[in-house]
Amino acid sequence: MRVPIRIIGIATSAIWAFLIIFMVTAIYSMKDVRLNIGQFQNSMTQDNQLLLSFPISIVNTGFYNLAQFNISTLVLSANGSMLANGSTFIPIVVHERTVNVTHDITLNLTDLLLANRDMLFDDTELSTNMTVSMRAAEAIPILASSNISIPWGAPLYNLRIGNPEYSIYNATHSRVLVPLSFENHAFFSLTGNVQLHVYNSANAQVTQTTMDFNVLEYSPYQGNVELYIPFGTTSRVHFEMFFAFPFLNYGPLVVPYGN
Amino acid sequence: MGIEDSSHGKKMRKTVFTIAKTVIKTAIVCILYVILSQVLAPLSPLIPGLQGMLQTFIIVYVALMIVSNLTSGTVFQHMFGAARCGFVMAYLIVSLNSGIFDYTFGSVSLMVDLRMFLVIVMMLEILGLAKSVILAIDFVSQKAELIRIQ
Repeated sequence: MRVPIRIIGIATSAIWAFLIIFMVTAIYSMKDVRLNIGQFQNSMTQDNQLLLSFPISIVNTGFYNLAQFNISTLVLSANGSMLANGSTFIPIVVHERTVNVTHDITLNLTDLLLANRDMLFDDTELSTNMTVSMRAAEAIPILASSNISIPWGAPLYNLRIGNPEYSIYNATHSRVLVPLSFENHAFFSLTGNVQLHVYNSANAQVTQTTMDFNVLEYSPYQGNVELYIPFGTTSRVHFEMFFAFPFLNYGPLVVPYGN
Repeated sequence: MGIEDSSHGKKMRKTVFTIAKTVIKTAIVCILYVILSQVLAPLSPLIPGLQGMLQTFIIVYVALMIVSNLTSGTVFQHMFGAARCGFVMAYLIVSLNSGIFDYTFGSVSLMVDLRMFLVIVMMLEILGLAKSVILAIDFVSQKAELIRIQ
């Protein structure tokens, strides 16, 4: 009776010692795990989706391997609907090693801007939920999540159409320069064109023109749309603007002009 | 008179041995606690209350261990041993929130799933509890046999 009980006691103590040493070293080594997120880069995919790529390095100088390392990101709009998500899975991060990966988030700009047209013109904030999960020492599940706001810069911020400048072009037409300006606050460059249709007071189209532009990210744009209007067009006109980007067609934006 | 002296000396030696054993065990637990608190010190800012939690646990555990050792040779030794197992189980369930350790600091929330660890600890402690009960029964039955023989 005494001997088996004593053996059970010794075995229990040994398991306890192993368990405590394992748990303490596993938790302690978590302080030597670092997750570095670099500056993101963006590019357009073939199907005109915006690809945000975050370089991530996981430095594991702890005692144990990290298993099932997963990073997932969820981008939400101001009203809480999901705009984009991305997930990166690393089966194992061996100890004393650094793993470099790229965490990609695909943002469907067409859906985003169709559902939230004001995001074309107004800066706002996108709520982002980032979750990092892993198995510390390949045994203890750990999950860390954080909510952060990322600023959204409007691609057509402060869009303005200035006063047209008229000049005589030839015997039949006037040359009209319509100043157009906006600031591209977005983190991607804006390539596309703007079509300007001019209508007279009778709502008949007088003329139209197309102008291409290529505006770099975080850059202002200032240009003139050139039009040729036949003489005799009333002074009361209205413009209709159509923007065409690879990811979205937007218009008409009606701008009245004249007395 | 000689037999009485010898019995008294034996009792004295046993008491000194018990006290020495208790002091050594307490010293070992205290040294382990100091090492553990040093190792876990970098995590203290992340987990507020960790040091306090550990301290309370060690104080109660050591107190029960001292009482259990000092009452060795009586049925109370096993009762306090069982109480120690019960305390470890209850304390870990409560302090580890049933194995899901959840903590929020700033905008970051952290969740550590210690259910596997808790299950192993519970099994070990149930084994310890059963051991104490069996030893108590064994002790009582041996006493009963001695009384009958006398």
